[in-house]
This record gives sequence, structure tokens and C-alpha cells, in this order.
Amino acid sequence: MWECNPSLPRSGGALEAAALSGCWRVTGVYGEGSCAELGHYAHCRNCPVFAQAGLEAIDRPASASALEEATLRLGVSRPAAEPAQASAVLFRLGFEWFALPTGALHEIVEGRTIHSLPHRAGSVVLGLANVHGELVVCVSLQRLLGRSVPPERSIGWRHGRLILLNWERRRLAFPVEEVGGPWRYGVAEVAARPGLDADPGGGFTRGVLRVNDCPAVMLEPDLLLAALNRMLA
Amino acid sequence: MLFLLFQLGNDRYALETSRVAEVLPLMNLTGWPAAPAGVAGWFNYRGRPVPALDLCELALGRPAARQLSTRVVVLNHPDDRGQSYWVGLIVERAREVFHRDPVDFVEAAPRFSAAACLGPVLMDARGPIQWIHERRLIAEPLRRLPLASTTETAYVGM
Repeated sequence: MWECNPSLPRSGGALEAAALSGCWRVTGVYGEGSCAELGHYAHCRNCPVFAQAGLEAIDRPASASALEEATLRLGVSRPAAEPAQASAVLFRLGFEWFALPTGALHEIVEGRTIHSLPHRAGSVVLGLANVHGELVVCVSLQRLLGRSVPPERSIGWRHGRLILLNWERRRLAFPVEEVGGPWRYGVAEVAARPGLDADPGGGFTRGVLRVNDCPAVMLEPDLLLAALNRMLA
Repeated sequence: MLFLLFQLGNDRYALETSRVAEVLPLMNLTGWPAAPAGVAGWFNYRGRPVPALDLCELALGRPAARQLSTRVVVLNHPDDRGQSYWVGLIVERAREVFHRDPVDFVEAAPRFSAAACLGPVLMDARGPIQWIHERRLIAEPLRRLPLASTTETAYVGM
């Protein structure tokens, strides 16, 4: 703006005169590039003369079509504001669908062998999996949420997908049977969290999402990670 | 404080923006037969009829130039009875906004009673910028606007 350019001639319409001369095409970057101000502004588009020329450019007669176009555009009622939207990734454990905010996820990879750890049988920790050459701790979300896990699926689960969460600059993974992909939903559409004694998310519920009339339990990633942190410590 | 800079003729004016709803391009106005001086007509503002006052006409006695930089400033204007209306002000060369502390404006020495709408002046290197109290300037023509007083509900802004 004109107030912040101390180095420029500002009185007596000198700025306007410079702007009208089109100096950027002569000595500026669109010309021979010899302007002394280029050392300071680097490019004509940072120069107040150029900005002034832009302002002067709209001091020209308004055509009948421009007036007509503005009249039509302003006569249209403004559409109601879109309700706030957020994104969640859906996944299935057993017969239940769950959801986590997309931002909490790091990656979703193919299911793979989870190598069990000694003395950890039956705990929330399933073992380690190789993801891009890195050993990642895998946990059972089902056990964390208090679900019974069919024994044939409890370890070495090769089917489904592995969801990786960001966990204190490391990764934490949990296997799921199916991923339903990201889902956009209205923030206001999330039903309130049910009472604690009936909480389907084992105390980690943010709310209940309706996806094509099928309920999905939206989990609170912070609570989930805090609980896992305590168990893994 | 944010100000909208515009011109009436060759002189520069600043309008405080807290009541400005939107700055629109110039559009075709529907005429208003027997309207008081300064009322240029009305326009369809997103489904609402809003009167447009030509500040050039009010201040200089000539209509604003039909240029791309001539714009319509939509204001929320409260009247004496506490009702508020959308009012469009047509101003020339409305091209910039600027932030300034109100204390940077100084009182201008001569005060004419007819120019009660003019407030303090900002002494800028490129010439003075006069703070305009648009409410005082448009209050009189709006008061004489027949529709503004009879079908109030049609204009209630907020």
C-alpha cells in the first residue's frame, strides 16, 4: 500500500505518472531489467509503481455488459452456508464398524504377519510387524475395547488391513478386518456419545456416526493413544 | 481501525468500515420516480431491495462517473427509531483499504455547518484524507425517502 513505500516519489502525482508510463515493460522485468529499484523489490510485482498501475487500470469506463453482469450476480440470493464437514476413516472389527478422524491416521497398509512377543500372550500387544522395513508395535483394538477375539484370528493375522497411527513420533499399528475408506460427514451429524455403561467404544467414544444408516462408533484418538501408552509403558 | 479510501471528484475520503457489509461493483440501478436528490435508485441486493445513494451527487452535485472503480458500499444504517436498513453508497475510486489509528487524524481548522458530515483529517504525503461521517450525510435524503418510512419491514437488514 502507498503508506509503506518510503523510497518512492509520492507527492505531486509522481507515482501515478510513473505508473502510467508502463516502466515495467521498459526498464523492469518485462523489459531490459535495468531499473535501479529492482535491487530492492526483486520483481516488478513487488513495486508500488506496479501496484499503482493496477489501481489506475480500473479507472476506466464500466461497460454496459459489466454493469449487467454485476446486476445479475448480486440479484441472486446467497446460498446458505455449508455445514462444517470433517473426514473419518471407517474400519470393521468383527461385525462392528468403527471410525477414527482421518487426521489421526498415518497410513493404511496391507495385512501382514504379526510376529508375537514372548510373555505378551493375551495382552493388548499383538507383536511386531514389518512396515517399510521398520518394526512397528501392533496392538489389538478389540482387546482394548473389551471384545472377545476369535482364537484363529488372534495372532499372525494376514488378512485385512493394518492401520498405522502416529504415536509420539513413532508408529503404532492395529489390524482391522476391512477398511471402509474415508467418509465425509457433517460435524453436527455425529450423535452424542452414549452413556458410559453402554459405551460401545469401551470409554473411547467420541460419538456415533451414521454411515448409510449403519452406525459406526467414532473413537477419540487421544483417549485411545493415552490408554495404549499406559499399557505399553 | 480499518478505513475504506475513496474519492469524490479529486478529494480523498475515508469511511470507517465497521458498518460496511460489502463493497459491490457498480450495477444497473432501478430508477425511483420523484426521489429526493442524491437517491440514485435501488437495486436487488441478494433478494432485498436496497436504496442506492450517490455520494457524488450529494457532495458535488453531479452523478458518480460510470467507471469500474466506482463502487457501491453497502452499509448497515440505523435510523432514529432504532430500525436498521441496508443502504448502498455510490462512491468513486473505491480501490483501497488501510489501517490507521484514529488518533492520527487531526481536527481540521475551518468547520462549516453544512459540512457537518466531515470529521478529522489524515495528513498524508499525497494530500489530506477526510474522515467522512456517512450517517450524517445520508440521514437527510433517507428520511425523505417515501418507501423507507412506510414499508420498513422490507428493509430491515438484520
